[in-house]
Amino acid sequence: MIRKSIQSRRARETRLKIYGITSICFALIMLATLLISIGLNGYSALQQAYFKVDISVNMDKLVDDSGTINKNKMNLFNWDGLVKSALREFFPEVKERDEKKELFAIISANAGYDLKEIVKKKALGSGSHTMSVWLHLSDDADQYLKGRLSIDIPEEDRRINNKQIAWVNSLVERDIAKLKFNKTFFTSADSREPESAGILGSVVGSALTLFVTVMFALPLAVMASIYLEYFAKPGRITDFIEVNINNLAAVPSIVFGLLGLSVFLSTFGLPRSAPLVGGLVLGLMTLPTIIIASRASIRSIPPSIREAALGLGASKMQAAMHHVLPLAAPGILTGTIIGMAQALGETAPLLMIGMVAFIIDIPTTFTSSATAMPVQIYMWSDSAERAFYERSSLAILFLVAFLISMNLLAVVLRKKFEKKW
Amino acid sequence: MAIKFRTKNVEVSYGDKKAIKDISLNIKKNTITALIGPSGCGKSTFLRCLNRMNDVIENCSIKGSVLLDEQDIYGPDIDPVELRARVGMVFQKANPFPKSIFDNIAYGPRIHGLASSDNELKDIVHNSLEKAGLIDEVKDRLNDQATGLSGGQQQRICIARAIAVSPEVILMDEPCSALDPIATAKIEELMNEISETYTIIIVTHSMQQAARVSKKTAFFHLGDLIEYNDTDKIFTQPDNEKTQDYITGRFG
Amino acid sequence: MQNIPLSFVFFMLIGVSLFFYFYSKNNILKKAAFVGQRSKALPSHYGQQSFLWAFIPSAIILLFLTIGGPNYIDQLFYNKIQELNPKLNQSFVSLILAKVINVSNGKIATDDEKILSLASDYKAALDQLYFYRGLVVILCAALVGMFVSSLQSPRANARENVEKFIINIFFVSAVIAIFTTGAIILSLLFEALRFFSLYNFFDFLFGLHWAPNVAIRSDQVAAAGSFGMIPVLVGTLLISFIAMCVAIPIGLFSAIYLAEFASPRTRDFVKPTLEILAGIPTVVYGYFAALTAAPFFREIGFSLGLDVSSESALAAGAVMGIMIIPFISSLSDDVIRAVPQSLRDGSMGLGATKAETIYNVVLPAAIPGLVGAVLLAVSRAIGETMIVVMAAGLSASLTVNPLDSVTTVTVQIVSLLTGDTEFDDIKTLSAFGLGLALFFFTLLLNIFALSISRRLAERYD
Repeated sequence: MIRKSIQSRRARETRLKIYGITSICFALIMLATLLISIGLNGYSALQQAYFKVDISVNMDKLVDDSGTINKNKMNLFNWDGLVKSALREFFPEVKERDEKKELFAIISANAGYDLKEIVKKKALGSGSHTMSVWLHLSDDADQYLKGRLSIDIPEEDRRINNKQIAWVNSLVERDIAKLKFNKTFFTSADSREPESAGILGSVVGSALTLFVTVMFALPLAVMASIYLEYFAKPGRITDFIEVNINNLAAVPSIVFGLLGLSVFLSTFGLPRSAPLVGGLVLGLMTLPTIIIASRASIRSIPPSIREAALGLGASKMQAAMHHVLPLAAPGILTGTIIGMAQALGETAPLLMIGMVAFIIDIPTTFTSSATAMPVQIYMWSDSAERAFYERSSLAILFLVAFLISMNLLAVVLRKKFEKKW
Repeated sequence: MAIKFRTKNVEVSYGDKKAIKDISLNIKKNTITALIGPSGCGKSTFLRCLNRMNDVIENCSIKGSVLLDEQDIYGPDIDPVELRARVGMVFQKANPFPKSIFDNIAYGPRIHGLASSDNELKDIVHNSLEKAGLIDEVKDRLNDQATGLSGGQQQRICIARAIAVSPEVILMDEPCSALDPIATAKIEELMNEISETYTIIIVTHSMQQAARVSKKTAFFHLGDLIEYNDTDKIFTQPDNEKTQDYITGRFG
Repeated sequence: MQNIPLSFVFFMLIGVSLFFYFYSKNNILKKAAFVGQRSKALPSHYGQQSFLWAFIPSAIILLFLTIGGPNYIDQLFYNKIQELNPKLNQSFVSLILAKVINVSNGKIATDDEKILSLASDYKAALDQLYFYRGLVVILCAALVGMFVSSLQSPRANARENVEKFIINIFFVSAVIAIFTTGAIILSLLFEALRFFSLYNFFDFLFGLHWAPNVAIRSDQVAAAGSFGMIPVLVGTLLISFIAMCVAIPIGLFSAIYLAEFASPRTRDFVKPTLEILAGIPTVVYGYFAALTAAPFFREIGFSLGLDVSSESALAAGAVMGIMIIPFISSLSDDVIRAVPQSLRDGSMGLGATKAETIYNVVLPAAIPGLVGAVLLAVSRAIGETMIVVMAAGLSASLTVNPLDSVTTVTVQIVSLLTGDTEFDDIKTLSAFGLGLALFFFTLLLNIFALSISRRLAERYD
């Protein structure tokens, strides 16, 4: 009596399962491809090419009569010359001016500046001192040593010519140049030269910005949630507020950037590129998300607890603040962490308010110019130097690792505080 | 009379917990058999063994044999899908699909390919609604949403839906527990009318209902089959003391 | 005049307010004893009342002076410089002002006498401002605090007053959501209207040519630039469409499998892993799209004899689709699981296979939620910025060929506003026109999504 063959029906079911498994595998493979391709690009940034020179410095030329370091004298001293002559000692055969230029191109353009900073930090006493310092090679030499610079293309099209390759190889053979751990990446801010560039500036900038975001969004969100759950009179105004919150949660992030640009920067005249403004913009953006999460958390508290407090004569405010809020706190915290993870990865709104400027100092206050990690990644990926590719890849790995741990923390906290009422 | 279902030493466990232990019961063809007993005694679980609906539940394991027309329904060559076209089910709370009345009834025939033309399908739907005694009430609004009907009507839709597949057996799991007395009476009337064509097994909480409609009754208690006999005998002169206690209301 | 730094003023303010907290708290007990009855509220409540009165008005004054004060001084000096140099135009005056400011805080050095004198005047003005700021704020706090604590009476229920006040603050926080929406609309509208005063609204809305490269001089009207947004809109829709073609089937089938077929162990592993896809910042996806996906598609196209742009809509759209997959799969999973088990049982009981149950019963019942999820995902795709900024093109070509390079609304907004153009330039204003269009488009989509889910849900109830 059953006419449709049971086999074809079963086959349909198997096909559905296959579609499902294929889709899931596709998504997972894409995730893996994404992470692996970036990882392959970035792991080499953990190392950097350095070379060792012995420098002798006469501190007497650089200090005041009192013995403290004179800034002007430090700035005016020819550190570049010191480094270059040290380099020439390894290759005494290089005499011509053009050839010397080629030689100096294999070390970092900032080598002199770096040397000055090292001497400043060492705080040497008076008199002459000789010391060994590790300085950066140029980014082209660095990329060559990491095998990322293609040398099979003709010489004129290359960034490093054969002579320079020979010199670099010679330094390596003599154990003067090698790849060491890239401390600079973690301790410096941005720079024009890839070898001197690091993420510390953007990390601090992100931290400051996120601090403002939390300080702004969390109290507001909690207060708004408590109001909406316990004190709002059901009516048109309350409905209107709720509709607005739900809509704001779906507004594209770039629109918040436009808001920040025209209101915070233009109308209020707040400083451009400052963590304060970035924090306010991101705070407004995450506010609806945290409100929605907080409301859900507050709602999950059984009404019996609130009623018990009210029954004892507590006011609505006291019941809310003393009894419900502490119990809802874990859920609110989880929602906040997730909101912060979102804000940490946002780039577009920060571009709008100018955090895309080139900042070489590590920001110190909420109103100093700063940049944020995702913006830094964006700027680096835009630049022409190959060495910036691997650095932005490494920066991405750190950012993603940090974000994953934030989300894991939220999940762990949620499980830990999960109570079945 | 022929035996429709022959069950031997059936044991069902959810994880480690045993829901039914060692049931052996033979259901007669084209009769109404009632399964009674207090809550949690395993009657629904046993019912669901007969059309392998327990397969849908996670970590549910079954031992023993269940034979439909002397064929083991848990055998390797039996597809539950085909089985359920022969053994239909009506649930405790009416669960019509959120579709039109017509589509609800037509669903079963469609997926099993029982109608080779639109007209045949229409005929099947009409016949089922007739048998379910609903045709006069809904014949003008077959395209309305089934969920817009009253509870009793919805349950009869579910019965018509089950009938549309031309099953041999209809399992009913407390079909009237969510209905008022009038709707209940209508469904009991329906059961009587169709009992000559179908083997009906009904799980019920109400002893009066069992007494009204069924020919044979099985009394379950804590996962065991305590007594199985003609309905008249069970309710007037039960063999087992526990049965006596239950029907006189001492417990349950 | 000594420059009183902000942090000092703030801490002093807190200190003064705290003083009045403790003072009122103790004082009220004495007053209560004097009157002979217990105070209507706890002493701490009276303390809180004084604290709030001392702190909040003064804090507002502090905020006002800190934000507005320097702006006011800047404006004064701007006018002064303009007076001294009546022939210079706006941007030069601003430049000089910036120099003066930087000299006054020691960032740069100069020999120019005039600038040095202006700089020292500027520093003096700021010092004076900050001095008075500190003075006014602390005095105000002290005076108000004294006034309020002396007026406090045990007969008044301070707790109620404080709570009413706090509830109002809570109300204001809730209302900030409305304010934000209003601020967005107003600010976008304001700038966009300025744009439309320079460029015809209908030419913008229906124009087929987008080429914002106008002459650099800001006072030149949009004679050479066209701002017709249709090509940009089409680009956005093309890329979003491609993204949806990737995300919807994969997201939906993943959700179906996870909700209906997968074992709990599989679910526990796969679901959080898919969430990771959702947590990856969009700039990373953009990076991946620009550096890996686009060359990949180009290579494949090459070997097939097709000319694929290095900024193809296909690459950007495909990667955007991958980003949206977890969005759709997570929402769909919730929606599918919300379909009552009784419907599934009914279908299985009739002898339907699991697939037949899913196709015929579960999915139709889940349609309202699924439609809502898809529309929200589309809204997300349209508003997405970084992936397209890094992987899509800048030139607006009116095409539906996925192998070509197109530009989107968000890309244009970014490129117009992160250049070096002045704020009043017609180019920057056109970005606000686009921003307004984007905001309303996504708003309408969201409202539509909500209403259609609700309407369909009613049908199935």
